[in-house]
Amino acid sequence: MVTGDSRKKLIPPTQLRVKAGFVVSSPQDEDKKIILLNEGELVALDPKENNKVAFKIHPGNLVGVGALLEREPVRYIFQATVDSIITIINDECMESELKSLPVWLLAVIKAISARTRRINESMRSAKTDNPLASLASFCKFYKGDDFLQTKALLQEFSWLTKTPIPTATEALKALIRRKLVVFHGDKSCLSIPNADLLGIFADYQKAKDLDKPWLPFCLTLQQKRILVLLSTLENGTSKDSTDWIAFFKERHFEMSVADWLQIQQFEWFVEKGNHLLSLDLAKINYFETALKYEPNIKGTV
Amino acid sequence: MDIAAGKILCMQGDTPHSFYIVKKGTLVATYKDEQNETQTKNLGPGSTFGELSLVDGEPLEYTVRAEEDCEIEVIPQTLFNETMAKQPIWMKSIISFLTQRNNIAQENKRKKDFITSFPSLLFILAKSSEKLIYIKDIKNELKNFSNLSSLETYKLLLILQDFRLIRLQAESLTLENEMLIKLLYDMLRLRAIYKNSSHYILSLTEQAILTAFTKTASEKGELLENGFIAVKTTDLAAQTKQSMHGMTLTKNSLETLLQKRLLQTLPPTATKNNDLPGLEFIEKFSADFDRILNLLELNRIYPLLDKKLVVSG
Repeated sequence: MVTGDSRKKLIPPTQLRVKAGFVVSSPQDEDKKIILLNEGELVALDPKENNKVAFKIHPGNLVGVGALLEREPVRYIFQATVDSIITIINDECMESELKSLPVWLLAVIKAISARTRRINESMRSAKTDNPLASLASFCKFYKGDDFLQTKALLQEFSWLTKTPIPTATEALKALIRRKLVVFHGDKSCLSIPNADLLGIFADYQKAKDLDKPWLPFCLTLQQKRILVLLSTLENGTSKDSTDWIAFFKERHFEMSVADWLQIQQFEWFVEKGNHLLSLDLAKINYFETALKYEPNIKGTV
Repeated sequence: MDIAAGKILCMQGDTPHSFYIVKKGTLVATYKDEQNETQTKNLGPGSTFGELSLVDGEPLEYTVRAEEDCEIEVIPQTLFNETMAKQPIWMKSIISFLTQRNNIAQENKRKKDFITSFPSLLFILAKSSEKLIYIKDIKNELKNFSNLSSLETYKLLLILQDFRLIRLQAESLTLENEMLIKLLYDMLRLRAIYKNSSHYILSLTEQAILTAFTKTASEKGELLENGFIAVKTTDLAAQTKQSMHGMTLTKNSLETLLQKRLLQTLPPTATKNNDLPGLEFIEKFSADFDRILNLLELNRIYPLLDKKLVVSG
């Protein structure tokens, strides 16, 4: 009679008494199952290692969860070493049991399984999320090396970051398109015209990944003009805030305190004590280079 | 449970021992890493979180805030325990198995990240043009190659310090032996990519001869114009015999060192054994002294490295 109450129809697990030497599960078995050892002892034999004993299973332990819940391949043969009592939970039994569980408990089980799957997948995947930024950072270390072997460079990058060679090759092409890296001859060699620019590009990419505005591309026209002015000064030029504001006003820049505070966010000045702010030309140069090569960095060459 | 827009449901690091299911509305989970960079993800209806907090009492990885008015189902640990008590015993075993498997996977990943980030760290140090480097800068650079945490990066640096390759200060480090860092990196690279590091790996005999060479060179070496140090063959043979338990210097034992160009003969000769003249015809041997010292040190470090990485990880 159909009652429509399938939730209560539980298929119980099967309990078996097995003799020593009985194989309870093997990789060839079509139906996946969880085996719970109630009494006795099982061993896991590795067929890839000439059936060498990999480990022992003691009462209370269970095997086959990954195979049944995650459809993972079974690696070992499980054999009883002494007369044992086992409980077998097969697909139907598990399904009926899962159906009887509260939905939230099912969600807990699924969430833990998914989390493990994600961790295992991430172990097999590249160590960085943005291969383009990562390759740019890698290439910038080859400052001063005239010609580099393309294949060797990609292999080295792939080894360090576990990025697959095809992905690394695509990232390299993207750097070539932006003219940050230049191919030579039959593309077997390459050179890096401006290593610092690669570092700047990597920073831009990282800001993009975090969905953050990247300061060199957020400057107003006045701030750009101030940048050009500052680039003509000597590194380490120091003044306090009042003198800096006066310095800009003398050169006909509108400069409120708010404007000044905003400029300080760009880290063009380093605090030197005694309220003195010293010009950091390295940072000025960083901003200038970024602006000069904006189309290359944005990929609109 | 209803939660108003803008309210924080739970904080990163809290241990609420509860599982949450989003029924209605959207929440934002934010995760702050060690450098205070925030990563976010949205949790819409059907999303769940807190499973390991419920089952294993683990701290939450995210701070969760309601983006709009939300309805959340909270499963406290008391309900979990009551429900599990009604289930067959094997169901509890399955959940504890899944949790354990998750912990093992997490630990394996951590260890793998630790070990596989070591070459990246060496790369950064080997390519550095400065002798003094800020640890903060190294950590930032390393982020371009791996997701290793600050603490784990520091542990790798401690390994390098143990091998006297670097010296750590409060916020910076000094490269103690740049050449050896470069050699070590290059050897790992060749081993991994070309499955060949034989150029750097010395046999025990080669190590014995080169050790004798360095001792002879320290006592009786002669500095050549090219910066190499030369020693007389008779002195080298005597030192080899004295310090290496009576070992006799032969053409055979020198052949590979000559082929690898670690030693050179004076006057120059062929390096193949068949063509190599008898030792009595070779007046002196010369070598790049620093390179020999670094290679010997590399061969001391190398067998210890893998074990050190596994133990420290």
